[in-house]
Amino acid sequence: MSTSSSSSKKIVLKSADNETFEIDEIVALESQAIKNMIEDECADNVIPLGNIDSKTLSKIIEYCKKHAESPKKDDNADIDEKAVEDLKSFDAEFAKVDMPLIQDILMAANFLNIDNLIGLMCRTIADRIKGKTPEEIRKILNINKNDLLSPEQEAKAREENSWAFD
Amino acid sequence: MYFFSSKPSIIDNHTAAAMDYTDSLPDECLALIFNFLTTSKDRKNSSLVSHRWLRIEAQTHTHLSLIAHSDLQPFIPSIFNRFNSLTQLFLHNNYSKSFDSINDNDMILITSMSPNLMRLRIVYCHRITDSGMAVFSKNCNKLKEFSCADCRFSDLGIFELLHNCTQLEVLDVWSLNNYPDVKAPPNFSAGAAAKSLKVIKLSFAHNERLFEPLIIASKNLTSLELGCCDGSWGRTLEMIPNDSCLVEVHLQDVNVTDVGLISVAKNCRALKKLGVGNFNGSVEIGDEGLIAVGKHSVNLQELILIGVNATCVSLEVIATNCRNLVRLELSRSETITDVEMMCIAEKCVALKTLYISTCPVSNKGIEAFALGCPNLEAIWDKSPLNEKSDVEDMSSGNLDFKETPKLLDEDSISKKLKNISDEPQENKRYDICCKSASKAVKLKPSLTVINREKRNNLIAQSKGKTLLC
Repeated sequence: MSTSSSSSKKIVLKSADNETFEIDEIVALESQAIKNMIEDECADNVIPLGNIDSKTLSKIIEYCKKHAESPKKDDNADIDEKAVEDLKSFDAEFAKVDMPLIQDILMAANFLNIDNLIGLMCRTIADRIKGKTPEEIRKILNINKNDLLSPEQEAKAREENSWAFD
Repeated sequence: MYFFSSKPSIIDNHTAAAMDYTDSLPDECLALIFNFLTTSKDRKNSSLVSHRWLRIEAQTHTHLSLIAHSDLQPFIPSIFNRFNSLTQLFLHNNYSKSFDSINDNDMILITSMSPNLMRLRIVYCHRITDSGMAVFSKNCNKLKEFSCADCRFSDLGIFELLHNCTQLEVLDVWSLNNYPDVKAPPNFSAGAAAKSLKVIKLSFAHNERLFEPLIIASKNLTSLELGCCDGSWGRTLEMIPNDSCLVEVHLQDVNVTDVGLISVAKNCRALKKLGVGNFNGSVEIGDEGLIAVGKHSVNLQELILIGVNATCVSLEVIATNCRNLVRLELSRSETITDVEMMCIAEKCVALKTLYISTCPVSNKGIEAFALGCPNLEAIWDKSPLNEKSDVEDMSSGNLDFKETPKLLDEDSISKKLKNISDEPQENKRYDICCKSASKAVKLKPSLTVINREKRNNLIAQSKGKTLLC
């Protein structure tokens, strides 16, 4: 399947704050959820996304565009390494956003079922908590204070952990 | 029709200042984040973040390695309540503490709380007994791989396990207690697992009484490895059924004769890898057994002979018939000389790797490879330096070394060649061998010569990677 030339069909996405985005169908197909809708012929001209704001949606479209343009791994085995590298550095740049936006993108990617993007966001969060203490992780992610372990519970979990080795 | 707006809205998340960024994420996303944390320290720290993180982090654990000291006992219920998705468990009694390991009751509790175990490895658990094995293995009906090392139960315990774990594919036993006076129960059979077993690996198992019927009854066995096992295993080999599907057979420091080897060759038509030899003492295997290998094992790809007195008489048959032989290791044999080298160089067309150690082979023998063996990629040239290093060789030598490590590049070869001239006089014999090999390299640039230190390093590296869990 080639990329932009195969379809000029357009899909319109409408964000929660009523902004509309007209995109190529091929870009929209990066989302498994939208793909299912189109295949089931459930999609109208305009797809309302009542729980995704325009800022998040434009980021997601940016991601899908880039990935739709790039050759897919399973298309052929010998895709050039430059394209892979290019996509890698795009992903790295793309992930340089603050935690609230990462959360929104991850939620939306999860909702729209875009596997690669879910993976990218989860990896980004993982990278940010690597080498951090539990307290530092709580700060980075604003962990809900009501859910913290009591000192006794934490001590117990630590003791359990101490029995595990690599 | 899809109603996307029916989902809870996430747009006003950030109006509240102290919003937990992970609160709205589904558990699967959080689990995925944990999967990207590769170090145990990061995983442990994550588990302490909150109740939810504690729960989900544990759920993503399918592998767990625990110190199996008796002091673990009070924590067993809570640990296995927490890690309730385990498929692989490694219990190692850290002997720096003491040999006081978890006991039978602990094992029964652990396995009853881990119903999905597929791989189990126990090491240094001295307090687990045969009767404990009989009970806890009833809980392990999904087990595919069991391995143990330095435990105190006997072959009877193993057979209780084989009776209960009917899906077991891999049995790896290192050192068992030997009760020579204990008779096998009269109603003993090879165990229900005989149907499913594919790999049997026994080291220091000094009792063939129960393993013999097991090996013979395991119709689907593809790999058999016996190392340092006393007893008359030759008889076991002679009883291998003629439709055996064994692909890999390794016999190291095991009492076998030509008769046993002939049986293996005749009955295992699919044989691809064969290793025979002793590091301690001589081997009762010679040309007769190896000729049978040459005649029958036409699919052979790898042959390792240690201390086997093979001559060109049998090697020629092997070289002529085993057209797929890509790897050949010959060591500690007085009968492997230049004549044998020339025979190999001439006839082994498919050979890619040749390893020679402690054999009376001179430059002339190595030089033959400049012209022969068109596919040869590497010669491991490990001729003896002196008696002292010979002892080192014995300790590093191991039939386990089956992987072909990365070969030296051009740069290292030229560096090696440069070093030869700088090496002291006492390494003379080694020098000569390397020089002649390098002559072969000059004539055939694709050839790589690997020296002793490099190989030992590679062995050390490859050994470091063989952890189960």
